Amino acid sequence: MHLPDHQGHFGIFGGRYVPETLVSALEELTLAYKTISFSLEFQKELQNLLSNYAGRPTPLFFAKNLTSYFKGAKIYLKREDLTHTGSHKINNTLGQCLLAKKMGKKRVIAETGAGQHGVATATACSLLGLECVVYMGEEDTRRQSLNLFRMKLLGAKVVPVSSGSKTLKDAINQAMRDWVTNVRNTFYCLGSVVGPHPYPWMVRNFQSVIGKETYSQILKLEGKLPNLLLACVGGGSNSIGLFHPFYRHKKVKFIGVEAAGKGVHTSFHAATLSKGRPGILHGALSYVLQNQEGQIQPTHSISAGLDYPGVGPEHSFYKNSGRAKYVSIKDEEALNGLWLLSKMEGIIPALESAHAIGYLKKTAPQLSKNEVVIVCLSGRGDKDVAEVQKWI
Amino acid sequence: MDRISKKFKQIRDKKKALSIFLTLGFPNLKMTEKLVLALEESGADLFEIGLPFSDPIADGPTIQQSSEIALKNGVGWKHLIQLGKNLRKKTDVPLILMSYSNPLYHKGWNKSARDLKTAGFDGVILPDLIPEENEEAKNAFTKNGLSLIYLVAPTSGEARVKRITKECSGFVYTVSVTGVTGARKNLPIKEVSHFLKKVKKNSSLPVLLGFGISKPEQLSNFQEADGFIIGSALVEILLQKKEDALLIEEAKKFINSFAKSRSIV
Repeated sequence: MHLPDHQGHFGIFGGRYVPETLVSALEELTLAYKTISFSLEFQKELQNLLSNYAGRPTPLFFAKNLTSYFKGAKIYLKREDLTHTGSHKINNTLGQCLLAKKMGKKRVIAETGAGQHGVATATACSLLGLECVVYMGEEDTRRQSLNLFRMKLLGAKVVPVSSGSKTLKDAINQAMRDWVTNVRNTFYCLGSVVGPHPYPWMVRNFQSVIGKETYSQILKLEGKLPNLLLACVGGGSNSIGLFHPFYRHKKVKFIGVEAAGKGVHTSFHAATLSKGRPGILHGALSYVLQNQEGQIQPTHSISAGLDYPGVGPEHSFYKNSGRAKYVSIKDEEALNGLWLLSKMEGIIPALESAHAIGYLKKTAPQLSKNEVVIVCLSGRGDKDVAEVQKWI
Repeated sequence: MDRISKKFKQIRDKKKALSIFLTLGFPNLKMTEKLVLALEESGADLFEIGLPFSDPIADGPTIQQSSEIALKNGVGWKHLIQLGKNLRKKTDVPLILMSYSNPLYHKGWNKSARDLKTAGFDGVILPDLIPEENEEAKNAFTKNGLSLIYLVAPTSGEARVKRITKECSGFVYTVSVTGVTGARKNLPIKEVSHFLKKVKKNSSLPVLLGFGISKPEQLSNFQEADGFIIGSALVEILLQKKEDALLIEEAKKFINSFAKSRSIV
């Protein structure tokens, strides 16, 4: 089964729920993506950038200390934190910005939550000589001020967004409004597997490099496929990137870890798949955190990158079909994950990735010693050090 | 004949139609009903009642602000239904719901359509619903005799304009320029006229022009249109911190100035 269908549907999810003004741009993008990005020339160029600029392939590291600590499954870490700019986001922005350049678009816009996608977009634009404007919620400019400055250093214009909850959701709203206005000359570089078709499909494909590398690496290291893949889910791009190439191997289990914030029984969380209902947000049908009137609910997470009331439509499809399981981890448990990995393995993970690490405690000890778990370490924690300091 | 078609039949060849957008529950809950009645007296022909949504991606700062105020006022579906019922005791003016897909999807397309019909609404405009995704929604609205009004945009090619106008009922909402809702001092007259001609050529329904209509003087520039939609410019007046009665007076005067400028040349 090939998903999505030609209109971007993953089962009932996905599709295009957008202002008419954007339809021609989405069609133009879909066509350009199909014709340009799958060409050998483009693939070669992107491959070259991923290897020699972004530092791929990233290692699949056997976390020996963590494995002995939990006394269960063998734990491997897919080290996306070691890429240039420090997170998996660069895989997607190099792909999209290269496409923008080939399409002759001179201006690139992006939204950002934690700032990692903003930094990765600003980086790709700087490299490829494109103008870059990044929308960032005011609340996030405060808690991720280091990334704000990085984007400015890279030559991007950062526009703080003060509407709504002043976080990622509102940054996407504002980026979409910019796109509706400047649609003729602007390329919208969306950072996750969300939004209208072709984004969930295109971003997943650009991020699939994570899973493809993991696939051959684990075969080499273990001589078999893993039992479990574990990754954090905000919009869901690093997790889909890891999961998707294993989709047909039904024995490989997928667990996506959402942000439970202060707890899923409070109103301060961002556990969209665990607590949401299908709805329409940011151009697609997917699970959404919403109230009884269908208004989008405010979210909370210690991690800006997971602080989002929606999720990629492919994840909604995985959830409903039972292909993946979705769990959630509280702020506190994620912080414990961050400390644990820092102390045990000398790796400070991003707060987003720390959610996946935090879940190891609940799953690794229950697995046997010959089973293999792979965790996607989607980003490094430098950006979060100041925020973490405040919590101590 | 439904109220929208009847209205257009009445005014055809006599004057341009004026469709007025009001955010439900803004500036407060009582005002929406009063404004509809007052502005009908000033010459408004149709009303688009905006059920506010938390994430209005097609709206500029003005309507965003009115939506935030309305949501803070606690406005919701039951107020919309009550408004329709109240108004139907007093007027036959066409009432159209304008919102985003999610509040209706969440309630269920069928339930939404039934409620709207019962409350006396005549049509629905959802700027984030395009014909490709409309199957369930369209079935529900058609079954309940509600018009589903689509937007066509300057970026829509001719084939697409044709497709959308074919799917449309009631009237065709023609977006003047690329962008979000909001008052603009000037619209590019030549381009907008050209686009209007394209839409007219492909539509058997009345064609109304919206986005950026803020001054009565603009109307004569767009003779191709069968009518005009006024939203943000009116909302801006209502955003002033003044007593309700004064706001109604100003709103009436404003709409009246458009009513005087809409003769067919």
